[in-house]
Amino acid sequence: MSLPPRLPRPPSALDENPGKAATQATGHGAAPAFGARAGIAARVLAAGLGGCVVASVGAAALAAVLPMPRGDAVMAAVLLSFAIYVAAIVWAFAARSALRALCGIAAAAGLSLLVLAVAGSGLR
Amino acid sequence: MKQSLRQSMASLHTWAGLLVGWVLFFMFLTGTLGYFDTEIDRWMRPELPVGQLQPSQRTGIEIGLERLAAAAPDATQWTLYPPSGRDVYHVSLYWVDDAGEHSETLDHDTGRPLEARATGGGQALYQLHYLLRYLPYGAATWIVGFCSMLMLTVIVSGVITHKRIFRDFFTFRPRKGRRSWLDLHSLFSVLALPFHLMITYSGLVFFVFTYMAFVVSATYGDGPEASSRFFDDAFRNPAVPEAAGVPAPMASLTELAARADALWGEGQIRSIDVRHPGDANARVILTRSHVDPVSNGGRIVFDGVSGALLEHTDRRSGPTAVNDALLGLHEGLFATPVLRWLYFAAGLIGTAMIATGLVLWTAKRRTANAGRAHVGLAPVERLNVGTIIGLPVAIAAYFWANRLLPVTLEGRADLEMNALFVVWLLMLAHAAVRPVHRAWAEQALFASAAFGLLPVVNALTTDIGLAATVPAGDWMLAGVDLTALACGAGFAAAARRLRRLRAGDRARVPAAPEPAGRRLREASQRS
Repeated sequence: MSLPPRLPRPPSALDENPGKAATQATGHGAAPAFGARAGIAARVLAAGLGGCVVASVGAAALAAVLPMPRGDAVMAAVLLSFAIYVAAIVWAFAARSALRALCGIAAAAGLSLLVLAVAGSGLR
Repeated sequence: MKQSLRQSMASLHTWAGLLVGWVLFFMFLTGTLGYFDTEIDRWMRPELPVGQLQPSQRTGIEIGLERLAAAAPDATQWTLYPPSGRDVYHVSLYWVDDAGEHSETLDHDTGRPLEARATGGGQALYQLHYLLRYLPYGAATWIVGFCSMLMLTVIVSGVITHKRIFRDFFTFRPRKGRRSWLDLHSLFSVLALPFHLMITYSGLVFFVFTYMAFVVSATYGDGPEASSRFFDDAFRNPAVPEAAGVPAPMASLTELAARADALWGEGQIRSIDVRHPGDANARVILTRSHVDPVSNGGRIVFDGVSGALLEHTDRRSGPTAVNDALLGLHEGLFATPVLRWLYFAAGLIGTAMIATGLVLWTAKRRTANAGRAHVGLAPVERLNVGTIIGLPVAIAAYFWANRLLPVTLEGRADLEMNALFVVWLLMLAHAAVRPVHRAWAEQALFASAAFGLLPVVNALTTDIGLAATVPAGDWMLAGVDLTALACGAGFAAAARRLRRLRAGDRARVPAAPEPAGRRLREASQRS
């Protein structure tokens, strides 16, 4: 994905008081506006594909930095990978806007990649 | 799409759950039946002798060795499963020779192979929950992984959504439509939450090296050699050398088994695996029965000629022990009868959690939009009937097929399984054409007949009816019939209730014109 979809500007009152966002209608058959749909699509992508990247690269980075024998570090990391994945999914849907969701996931993926590149270079 | 955390988690919970709900229902139900796979196996092979007592492991090993010496003198590998309680009841053998792979189950009174009808048994039934059916292994693995990952997401988002997890646990508002469904759904979810989390997470762990292959290849490099290096590291896999091609007398296997007993405790051997029997490089690998979740993965390796102890995996590392324990917890092979029933109950609660979640989706949309139905309402409702009740009917059909298909019929094991899926399709078709409220009640009636009559069919077609098994005290066999009777009674009660409930429901739904429905919907979302 090159560009995040443009989202409709929400009323500013909601920014300051997210607890009242409950009045925003979303589901239950009411067709959401195009912007909202694009936002949902972006979050689904960020969660599904982005989360998958964050989980695998993140676990690989974890395996590279865990202070234990290589086989054990990989084992520990893969066991945690699904927790990383579900955390990424939840975050992608919890983020205040779809743009933030995409950026956050991309940042987590980038950071993991960096750690893997630095710490993992001497492994193979 | 700006919402509170709780709201966005509620949407995630609702839609992710709906997307894979039916597959998850299938996985939970068939997986739950897997906690009684051995019992079902036994019931589906009525030709096996009744009331045989299990011999000691020592005797079982001797019977197995005798048979292997006669039947598989030229094997390059053979594995002996001595009797070890519930999961391995009879001596089982497996060997590989020039002709291919062979397996046998032995009658421990005669030492001869047991003969019974061809059937997938409880094994094929429980394997459905991760292999699905009619799909290549790889595709099934990824579909199951996708659904399990969504299940994990649905559980976590459900917990976040939940405001008062403790208070709601003690809340039940019966006969209140969607509120009752919500209460039931919360109850089933919270009641066995640790089980739901454990079973979903550990289910993913079974295929973790498929799903997370990148982690291994990022560390060890690409290719099968690299990944086998990893497995050797992580699981301390014993290096099994090639055959030397030099014959050598084997160490006494009963003696090696006795040494394993000394390390693990009496009767805890799950399998004895011999590589290159009779060769100078022979290796004997013993694995341990699951006496508790952590004992899963326990293994001892002996030199098959000198009898030297080469490897003892009780020294495995923490992460590997966690992996083994997760898998052990999932399979629950260590569970004694009471715990096994608890496992079964927790599995059924998980199945009911999914079912009530699916029904809740329709209940919310039916009452919230009294004027115009949600576009997904009809298909979801019909899939719900055809799966929540239709699948149990189909599973009963699997048992019926086992009794009714001719014993000598070619390919009957596959036909039994086809019967399951054909009947499931029929149930889905029935749900699609009947008025929904009738479909629920009618299918519940089918289910009560299918399960309630199963012991009758069993008694008419075999010698292991309740009249024979109860006096003999064979609760393993009688248990299957009695459970079927209980299911029949349960579905009969459900059918009675559904008939009355649905009649009431119909009277309550007003036929409002479209715009009013829209206003209603918007109002309900504001409240």
